[in-house]
Amino acid sequence: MLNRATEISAEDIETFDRDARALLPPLQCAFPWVRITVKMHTLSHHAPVFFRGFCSLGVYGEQALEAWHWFFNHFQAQLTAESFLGSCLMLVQRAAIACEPGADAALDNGQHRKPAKPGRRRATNPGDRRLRANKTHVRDTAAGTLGETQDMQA
Amino acid sequence: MRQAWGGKDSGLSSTQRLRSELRDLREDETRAAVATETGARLVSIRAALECLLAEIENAGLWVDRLVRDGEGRPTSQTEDYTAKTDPGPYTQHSDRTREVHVCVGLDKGGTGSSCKLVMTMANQRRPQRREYSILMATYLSTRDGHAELCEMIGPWAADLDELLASGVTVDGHRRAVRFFLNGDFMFLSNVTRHLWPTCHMSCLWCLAVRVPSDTSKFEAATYGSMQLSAELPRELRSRKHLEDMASTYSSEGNSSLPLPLTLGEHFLIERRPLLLPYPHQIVPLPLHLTLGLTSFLLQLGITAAVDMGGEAGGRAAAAAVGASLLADAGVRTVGYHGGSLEGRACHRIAAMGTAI
Repeated sequence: MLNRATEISAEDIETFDRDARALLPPLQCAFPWVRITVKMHTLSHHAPVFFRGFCSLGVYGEQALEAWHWFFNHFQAQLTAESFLGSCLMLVQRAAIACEPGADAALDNGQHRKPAKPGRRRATNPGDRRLRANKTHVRDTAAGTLGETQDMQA
Repeated sequence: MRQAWGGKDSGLSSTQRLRSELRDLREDETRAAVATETGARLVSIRAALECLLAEIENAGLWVDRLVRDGEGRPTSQTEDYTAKTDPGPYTQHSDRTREVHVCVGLDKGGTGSSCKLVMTMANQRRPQRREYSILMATYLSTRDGHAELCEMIGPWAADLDELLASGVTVDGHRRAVRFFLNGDFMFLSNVTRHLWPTCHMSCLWCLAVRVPSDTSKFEAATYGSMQLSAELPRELRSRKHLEDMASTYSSEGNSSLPLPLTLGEHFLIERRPLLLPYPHQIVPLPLHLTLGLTSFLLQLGITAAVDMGGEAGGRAAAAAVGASLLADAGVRTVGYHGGSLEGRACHRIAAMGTAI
């Protein structure tokens, strides 16, 4: 809910408000040594206020900002110049030219993949091949997975 | 490819035409960029924003963002904005005014250690899509510090003030600009010239004292303490105070004043703020909250296991949580963020919270 870039319903905001305010006192009871940090305080007290005022946090979040780092890293080969400042200039120029929401909208024929109904596509049978454990293809390298397992067991 | 598909008959534009159009776009004022001593920036943020707004309006992607009143009801926007001409201090328009929600944020990252200053516009269906945001500037970041941030943000302050005072034109209507500030805690703290995220009054929204100490007993008693987590913030920060601090300090900070301000006067804003946002419009950094708290809660769970079952119990719990993170949630830590989890990984962990 924090990062969802849509308007959140009043009921969900109410629930978030209640949960956020109720998060920290039990933590302090269970772990008296825990110091409430600024981020915890912000989540508990100021995020709900922002939600109530503007109905969303994700809409105003930092995702787009972070995405530009990825873009610069990924397309660095295409943004080469004599100096790093030259690369910066090429990045800003490219970003300005590529900013065309209308072009994307023209290609959108309205057919979107809809999210499945709750529980509809959920794998419940242990033999279900949609379960991650039963996947035949491995998403990560065998050596990487083995290393992480060994790290955990060490 | 064009030749393979029949050359001119394919309907595809020629390379020469594409190059010519690219050249025209680069010379277009709304998309022009210039190099500076420390990086590169757009020539006119107003032109870029109005161009984006027109594109969004024409593409049918416009979404009105209505501000909620005290009781949670949306306030309908019925009035056009009138540009401010009086030279007095800026005051925000009423909630009934037609407006555009604009967020500005800066973040350091990526290879080559560069800072990106980005403007996002909330009045659209997918505001966080990178292509629909405006990269205002990219700066080479060689050192962390206030001086460097001043060089980056300083030149934009006048442009943003002008944008707020004049508003923008969308579909024939003049709309006000509601300014939000986003980014990580360090940026938000630095841009308002708040001392540091670890100082006594480290909250950017209220005056609560982080950890009461001998030197801040009075402030803790007056403004409350973050450690009293069940208590609501007693006093919120205000833009008026930021303005006062901006008029009090010159280029130097509090220490240069003949009579330095006390903690109860400056509330740890000890230098001239670079931008003057309304504190309730500083975005409570949703991504960084997620990143910061997810790992902490996982560690706290393992600590609980250590308390209950000793070191062996803790090891078993850590292994179980690790295995569950890998197998059920399919996440792993990454090399950046200090070897922590990514935002997307945090979402998966939250979704698989029961299993973990």
